[in-house]
Amino acid sequence: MTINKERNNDTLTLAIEGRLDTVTAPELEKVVNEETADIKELVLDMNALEYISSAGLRVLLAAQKKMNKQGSMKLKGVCDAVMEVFEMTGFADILAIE
Amino acid sequence: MDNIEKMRRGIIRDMSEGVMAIGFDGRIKFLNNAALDILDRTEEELLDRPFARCFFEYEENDGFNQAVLDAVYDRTGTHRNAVSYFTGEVTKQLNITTSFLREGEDKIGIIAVLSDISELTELRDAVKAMEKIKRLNSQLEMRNKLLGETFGRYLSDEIVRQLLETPDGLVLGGKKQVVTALMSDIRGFTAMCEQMDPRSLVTMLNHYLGEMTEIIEKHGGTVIEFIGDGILVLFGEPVKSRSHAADAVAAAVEMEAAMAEINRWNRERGFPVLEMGIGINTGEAIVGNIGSEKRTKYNVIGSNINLCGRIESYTVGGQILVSPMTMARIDAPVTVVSMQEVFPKGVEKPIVLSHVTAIGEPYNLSCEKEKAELTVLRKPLTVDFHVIKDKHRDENVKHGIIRAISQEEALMETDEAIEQFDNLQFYIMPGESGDVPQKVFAKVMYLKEEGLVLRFTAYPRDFDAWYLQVIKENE
Repeated sequence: MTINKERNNDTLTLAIEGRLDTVTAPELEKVVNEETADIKELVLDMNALEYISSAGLRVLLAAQKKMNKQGSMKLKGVCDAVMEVFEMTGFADILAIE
Repeated sequence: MDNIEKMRRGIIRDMSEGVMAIGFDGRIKFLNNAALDILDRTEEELLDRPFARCFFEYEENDGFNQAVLDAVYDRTGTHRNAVSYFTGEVTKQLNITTSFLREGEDKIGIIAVLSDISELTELRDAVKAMEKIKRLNSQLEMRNKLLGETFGRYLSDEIVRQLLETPDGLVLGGKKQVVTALMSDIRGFTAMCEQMDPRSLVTMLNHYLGEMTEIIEKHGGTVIEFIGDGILVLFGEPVKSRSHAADAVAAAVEMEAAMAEINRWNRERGFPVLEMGIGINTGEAIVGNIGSEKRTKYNVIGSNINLCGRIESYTVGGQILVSPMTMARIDAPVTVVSMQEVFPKGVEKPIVLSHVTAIGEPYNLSCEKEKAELTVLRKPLTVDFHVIKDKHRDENVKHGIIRAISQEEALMETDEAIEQFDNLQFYIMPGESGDVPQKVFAKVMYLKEEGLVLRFTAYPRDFDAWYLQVIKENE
């Protein structure tokens, strides 16, 4: 999994490529914890995301919680399959999805 | 509600497995009591709430949550998993079965069935642990057995026990102790080595040493070393005994007595008949683990041990010679058939050795043998012989006449100046056709009016044939 970072003033865009699972989710977690101190908006570009596991969902949830305190977070480019997962597990209501 | 529906509700309400249903909008639609129990939550916390908000707090529950996701990713069939579930306080082991529910094209939701297998898991882990312990135990037993058997073969059980049990057991070093040493050896063994094939020799030797070792250990002796056919035995250490002097004599008497059986065993196999001499001495010696870190031996050293060896060298076959120091320490009654004054290397003045043949209470052992009667020769044998002094042969040829003979002794008349305990060497001509002469060795045991009583100490190969010939010619 690769995370391509793009910083634009207070906005940080993370383009996630590959799988977000037990092995790779900690990487995203680390970026969110360490590189968003002065960020007001966190954008997660999920266009190249192939698969997300419960570990990935947990990290997203935690990221959303964190960003809610200092600004906002949104997901974009979510593919249909992943969208369905978000819907059927109740994440669609919690995560801001474009 | 019809009866079937009532039954269904009753079943779901009362069953011990938890049932949780998540609707297609991601909200938990239904939970039975068992589910609330297992998940350790109340209905208020979970019912109609998005699944996302309920169980994603703890990383430990990734497996649990993934089981639900699996049903979304793969909508065919049921997914069974064994997962950990953390309530926030305790961790449980659950079996969770999830499946995707649909009606034709319509998605209905996800069904999860839960059962708590924490106890089963604990039990299984305990059984596994026990099995592991059992395996390790049996491995340990095997190793101990191997150690004991291997170790025990090369060292006496007592030495092994001391080595393993005493904190100092493996420490190098010795201590000075009063001990009794016993040395035995077989007459003419070297010659036997050359005449027998190696396998037979080793078989014969092993049998002999085996029998001797048993007797030695029975009397509390510890074999320090096998030197070829010779045995160096220690009494008093490492197996402690106040009666080590008497124990040694008892062992010696029993060892000599056992020779009859050993020789019967030998004869059955065509092996030569053996004669054994034993020397015993008591005194201070250094005992302990002597050597280097890499190569150590339980050993005993000192002048008293050397003296024991020297005493043994004075013995003839079947004879036990005991030093005065040992005799002084024995309480038990001992049968002494003769005494011999010697002045070996290492002593300041001559000592008198006792030829012992029996020991009384509490041992009650004897090795007294019936001495074969000497056959008086109607045609006495004229013989030439040499005197051996300190292992060197005196080149002066001396003459004598053998008047009576047995397989062990001979009565010889001579004018030569021969002393008691002198060692003599004769030649015999076994064959009529003038074979190569063979050496016979004999020791002067005592002087009688009729002549010297000689005891044969080393026999050549064809002695038996020669002896039979002499007897035959005498008839």
